[in-house]
Amino acid sequence: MSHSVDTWIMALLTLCVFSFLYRDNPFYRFAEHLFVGAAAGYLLAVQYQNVLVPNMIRPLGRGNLLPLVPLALGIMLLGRLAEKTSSASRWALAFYVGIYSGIAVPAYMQAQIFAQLADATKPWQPGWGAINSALILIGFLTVLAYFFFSAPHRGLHGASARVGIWFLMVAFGASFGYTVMARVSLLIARVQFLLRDWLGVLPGA
Amino acid sequence: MDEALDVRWFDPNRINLLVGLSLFILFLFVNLRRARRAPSGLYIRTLPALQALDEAIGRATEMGRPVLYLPGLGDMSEVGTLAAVTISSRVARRVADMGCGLLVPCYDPVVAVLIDSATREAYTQAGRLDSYRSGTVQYVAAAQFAYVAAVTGLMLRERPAANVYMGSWYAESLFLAETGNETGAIQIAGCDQVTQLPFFVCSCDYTLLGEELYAASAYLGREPVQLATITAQDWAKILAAIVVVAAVVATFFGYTDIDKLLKTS
Repeated sequence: MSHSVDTWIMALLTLCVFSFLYRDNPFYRFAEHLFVGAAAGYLLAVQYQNVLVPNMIRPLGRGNLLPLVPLALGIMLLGRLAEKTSSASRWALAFYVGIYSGIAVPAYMQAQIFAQLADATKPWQPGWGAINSALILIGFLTVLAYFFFSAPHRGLHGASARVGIWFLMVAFGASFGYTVMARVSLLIARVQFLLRDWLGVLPGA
Repeated sequence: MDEALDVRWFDPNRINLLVGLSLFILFLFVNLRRARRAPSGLYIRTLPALQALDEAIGRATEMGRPVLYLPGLGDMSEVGTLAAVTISSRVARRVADMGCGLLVPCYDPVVAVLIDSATREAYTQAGRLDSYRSGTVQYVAAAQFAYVAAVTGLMLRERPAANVYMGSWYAESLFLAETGNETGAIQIAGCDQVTQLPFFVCSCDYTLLGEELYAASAYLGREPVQLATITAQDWAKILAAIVVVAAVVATFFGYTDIDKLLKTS
């Protein structure tokens, strides 16, 4: 059995979380609150070190006053705390949502639409590979038919959409199996930690 | 040494993106005009998951339990989160109309502020601002599994009758949806992350797949701008299908460079 305090803490917290498999209980609640509290404290420190210090405190120290603009917007967000000043937060929120929407739309179009279209329009593979290319084309058109909202799923459109949903479900099945496999390996790693690093009943500690 | 910033106003390698966006904006304006002239003229097909939303909120009201609305783990740079914020307003309006409780634990503090604002607005529109409890929308933790731990605990303690998951989800999707399933809540999910959709499909009663999430707010609100956006997207899909089929036909005639026209830097 381990003599390290760290390992004991990790093992006991792991067991507290695993106790949730039975039902909600004070041990799980303790781990939950500890986790949320530690995460909040940790993230506050990370935000201070990685965001505030390099982007605001250091530039202000060098005499660059530009960071005062985001600082003011940040303070305006806090205006929500009082009824009288709550309208100030709307300016900051509008700026934030506007900026992010402006960034998101072209980036989304490039990564999600043009990149996929470029792949879908590649020349067909020679020989038997043409079957793959044909499947990609059929999958593309039928899944697109499923996601067409301006017409009811009836007739040829409905039939295409039904084929499309089969393509989607096959893809989901493959993704599900792959991810479950990854989760099982995470569980194995945790059990290995308990049995090897903590209890020492497995070799290799 | 810092890499020099690209200070050009226009990147010629992305002209195809400009053309695509311009076409989409054109489709949008045409449909906006159509929607303003006759809003009933723009059709959106039925989304069963959203039809079930009323049923779920009604069930929660009858059981005297709250509705749990989870807006995902994305920040405001993600389109899924923008949709989740819009849908939250619709859900809050129905909840306010029916008079049941609402819980919205958030991962991102800015998203929490926005949803709080949208929810207050919805309660005001319903004439029920007095029943809006401060703390209905709350920031929980911006660490993925700390958020999971807090929300799963909340599900078991508060026993919401309906769980609504909307937005961008990652590895936590199955943890939350499975716990929600065990509590016996009606579960409705909408997610634009392909890798997480299988988990919602398995563990929820209804799932909005990918782009259905974006169509959901238009379906719920029936506002001309949103209806026009969905129709414009459908026109863009028709154009995309035509481009792909044309590219395939063109390759059979020896022209094989269409895919290069769509590549962006």
